[in-house]
Amino acid sequence: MSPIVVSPLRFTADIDAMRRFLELLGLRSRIESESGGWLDMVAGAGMVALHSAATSDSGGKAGETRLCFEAEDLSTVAARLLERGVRDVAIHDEAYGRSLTCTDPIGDPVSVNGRSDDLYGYRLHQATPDERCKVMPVRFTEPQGPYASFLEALSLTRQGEPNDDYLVYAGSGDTGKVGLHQVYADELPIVPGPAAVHLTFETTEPLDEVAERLQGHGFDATVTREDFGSMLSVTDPDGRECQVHEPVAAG
Amino acid sequence: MSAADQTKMPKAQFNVYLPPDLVKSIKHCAIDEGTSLSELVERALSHYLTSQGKEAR
Repeated sequence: MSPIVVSPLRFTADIDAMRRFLELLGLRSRIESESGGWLDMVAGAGMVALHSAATSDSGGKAGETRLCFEAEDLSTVAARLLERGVRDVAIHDEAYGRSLTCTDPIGDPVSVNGRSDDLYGYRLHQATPDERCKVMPVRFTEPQGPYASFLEALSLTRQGEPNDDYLVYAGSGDTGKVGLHQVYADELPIVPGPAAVHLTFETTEPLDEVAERLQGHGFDATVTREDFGSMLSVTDPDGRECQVHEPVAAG
Repeated sequence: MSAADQTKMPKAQFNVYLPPDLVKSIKHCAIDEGTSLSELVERALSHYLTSQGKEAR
């Protein structure tokens, strides 16, 4: 089975500003629509897709990020999801290619976009990202609950030791990660929406260096030492908090 | 990738078999018009029904 790539979708008020911001973290543009309004950027593992909130036909709000994936062979992904009891699995055509949708254990739609050789209306860039930076969106749900099985049905595997508050699942072949975080009482750092995730990254680059680079471009990056490791926090151009973490220990 | 929302009516999936070249042309047309594939096909089929003196129910 071809690897499934973690590819969260961010709806943004300003694609160019988000692109420049993500470039500071080490991501690079891969494919963008000639008409504007859509762009994807690759990281050392995983990718982030940017969609103009103004042209969203699914109600995407600026700052909202949704859990999405990309895969070459959607039929195989669909067969595996069906076999594992995932609901509402369907593959359909879109103008930009084919897409698989299914319903996650929370009841939200999650998409897996297929790769298309037909790049009509799109520009392909030679993307050389900083290999140290990996995409790791975080979904707020019970880490030991049914979401873990859903990610396993998508061929992601658990990393690290079991933890009541937080678990990380990684795609095979270094294709990005998904964090599952216990819901907490304070306001969650997400814009509510279907399959909402917190846009988060992991890097082996020293966080102080990342912070310095971001500060040099006017961002309010701060590094804190938490009990789980060091973490960089920064407000992105959509006004949302974005985090960059030290890697979690592999189990 | 698409124009503003058309209607808020519930949608149903509609699977048909078409020649690959026609599928490709329709997809390219949707991209040129900045609309979704579903919106473009909906408009084309509604237009056809109207031209035949029939209304979409």
